[in-house]
Amino acid sequence: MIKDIYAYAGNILRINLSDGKIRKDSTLDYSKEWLGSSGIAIKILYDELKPWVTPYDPANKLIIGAGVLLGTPAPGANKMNISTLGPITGGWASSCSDSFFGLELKYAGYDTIIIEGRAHHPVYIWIDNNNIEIRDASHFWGKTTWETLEMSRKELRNPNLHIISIGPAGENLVRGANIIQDRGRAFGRCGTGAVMGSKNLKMIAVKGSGSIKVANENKFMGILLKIREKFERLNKLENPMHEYGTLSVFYVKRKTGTVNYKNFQYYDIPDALAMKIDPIKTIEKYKIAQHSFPGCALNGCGKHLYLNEGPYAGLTTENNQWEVFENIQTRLAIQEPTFMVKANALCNQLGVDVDLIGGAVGWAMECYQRNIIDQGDTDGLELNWGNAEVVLELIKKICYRQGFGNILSEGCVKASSVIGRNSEYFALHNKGQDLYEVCRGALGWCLGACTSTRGGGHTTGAVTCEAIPENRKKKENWIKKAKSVYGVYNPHMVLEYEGKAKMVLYMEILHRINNCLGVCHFNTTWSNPEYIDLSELMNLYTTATGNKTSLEDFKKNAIRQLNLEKAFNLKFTNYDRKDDMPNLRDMQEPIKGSSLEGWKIDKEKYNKMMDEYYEIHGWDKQNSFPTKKTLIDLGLAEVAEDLKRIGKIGKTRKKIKY
Amino acid sequence: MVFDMLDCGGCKTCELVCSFHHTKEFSHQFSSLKVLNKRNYPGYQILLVEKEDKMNIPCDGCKDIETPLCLQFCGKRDDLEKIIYRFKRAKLQ
Ligand code: SF4
Ligand code: SF4
Repeated sequence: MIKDIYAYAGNILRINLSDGKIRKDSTLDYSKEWLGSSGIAIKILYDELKPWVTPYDPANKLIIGAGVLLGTPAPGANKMNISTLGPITGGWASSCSDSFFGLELKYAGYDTIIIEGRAHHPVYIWIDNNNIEIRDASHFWGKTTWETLEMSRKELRNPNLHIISIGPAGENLVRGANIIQDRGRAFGRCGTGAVMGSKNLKMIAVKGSGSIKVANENKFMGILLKIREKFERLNKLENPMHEYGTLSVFYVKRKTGTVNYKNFQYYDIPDALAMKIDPIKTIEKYKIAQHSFPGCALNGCGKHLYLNEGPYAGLTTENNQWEVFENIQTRLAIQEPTFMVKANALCNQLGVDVDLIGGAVGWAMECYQRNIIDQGDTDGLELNWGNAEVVLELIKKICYRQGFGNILSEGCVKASSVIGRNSEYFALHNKGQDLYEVCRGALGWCLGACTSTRGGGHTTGAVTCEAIPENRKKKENWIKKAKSVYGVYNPHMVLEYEGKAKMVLYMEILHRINNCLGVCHFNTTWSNPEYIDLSELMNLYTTATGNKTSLEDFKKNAIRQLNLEKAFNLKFTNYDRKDDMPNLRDMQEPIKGSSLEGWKIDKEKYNKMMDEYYEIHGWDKQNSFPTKKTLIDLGLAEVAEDLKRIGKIGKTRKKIKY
Repeated sequence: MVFDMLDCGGCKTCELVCSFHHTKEFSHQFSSLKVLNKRNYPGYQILLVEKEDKMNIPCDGCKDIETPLCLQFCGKRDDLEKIIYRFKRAKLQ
């Protein structure tokens, strides 16, 4: 490797699948202004995609980036990002995942891979350090991601090989198809797997034998050890993530009354069901080994499970996280406790986003309950709540685009537009993407999810920590710290509108910095105000890369990225303020069936919170467009010109009409 | 020697800091620890390089520091501790 490059591997690899050409550019052309990974990706996508490009067009690009700190033992430094023009929202698509693949990629000498064009037949890419080959993948086509991993480890003679691949869902351009790292750990949201499938690219395997150097190694290691000590102390107090992953929120989510039951009709599950499917007990019962990723200061959030009984006996897989439990198990009212494990494994094998499944099947089951659809629509399947076998059947039908599954594979919004009959109301989405996030009863979470530039999701601005003190051991300490970190007086008041816009802005910055550096959000102040904060991240960044920056400039990088994502969406879609709002159902229905019984969003207060959100971003509160001044201050004068040309530059307004 | 790990999550953090101990850079290549998948069963094994060969740098027990670097960074250090201290004892004898 080139010796004067620190933390970065130094190269961006461009692989054109249409003509087989491979080129290397320097990461340093981008890294100063765009940090890394997802930041570099949005810059490339914005600059290089012409406005006429569509998601499945060979001219679309799939950008796979490893975080700046990946390759070092920095806390939580194990994330990769995949970004593209997405087939669900039609705008910016971006998804991150824990990754050993990224570690290998950096050691092979690359920070980012840009996939361009479309191969004439199924191919895979084998990156063995300097040696890069585009190889025939006919024999992999049609295989599950698990089969692909096994076959590629044999073919490339390496039992410890790491890959990213698509399953049948990606091959069949299922809109919510994802990209899987090894056997699990998905680049889950936004349909990046469908774009990979449209390029006829089945898999990428990588092996790296190089190394990564940091600029100021003594200082860097000193910070690392200090952070380790802090976590050692905090982990001793409690470390629920390590014990049960995000499933650890089960009791607190029930207590705060925000568990999705029957497609958001109810906000908690019945006690009897809770006893039966308690996911904590399931993990306890079937865990056989730990699973974690480089640097994780929580010592990992994964468990390998072996189901030795029940309808799915014989299955060995990594545990699912909370999202699967809430979005497939409780949303669909399934009674079998190991169903979440099975459904998660099946989604990973076939390469489909669990949230598309929850969204589309949840919508369909509610339509069935309300007699909007019947067996005539569903290929004879009875879509009753709790019908586990039917759900598994539908997952397969979606991934292979068969019958009713072909309609569901488009996601709940497009499916509801095919079915019509006023079924749209039950399709819970954001910018066309199926929504997993529970929007009533947690305002910072709701605001962050709905204003998200990638269409829903809770990792581009949503506030999670507001509900957490409920199950914290030293609650008072937590709140005190949270006030100073997030800069609001009421971080723990979930139902107060005040301060939430400010908290979302903090999270938007933090999430982007984390994604660029490749640091797992759970190791940072997203999940606990005592964890790694923005200054610690900045110190890690400066000592690792040798780039000097101030906290203000560091944060500005993230805001610049957010504005470019916004501009990218404005270029490719018609989104405006209305698309940043919660669904009609969430705006008008009171909560039913939970400890928040009867609580309802106050429309006026919600809109005021939105106004504040746009104001602090320097965006026009009428239409959400960035103003010229905002863009120029961020060094995006050319972007301001582009938006002016398409009539989407914002104005500063005093008052607006809703 | 290859050791079966009971509680190890396979995170490879020990691998990265060990290579740093030897070379001041992070890599798999120059680590005396290699984290491997167990064959045919979930979980991990650790290969400790005990003797010099062409490809690998052997463990020196981090002789210059009180707590070996790998142990300072492993959050599940029981197994690793046994391996490293067994090795250190054997080396001292
Ligand atoms: S021994 Fe510790 S640091 Fe090494 S891989 Fe296992 S858990 Fe991670
Ligand atoms: S004790 Fe051995 S294995 Fe551990 S860091 Fe030091 S040299 Fe590496």
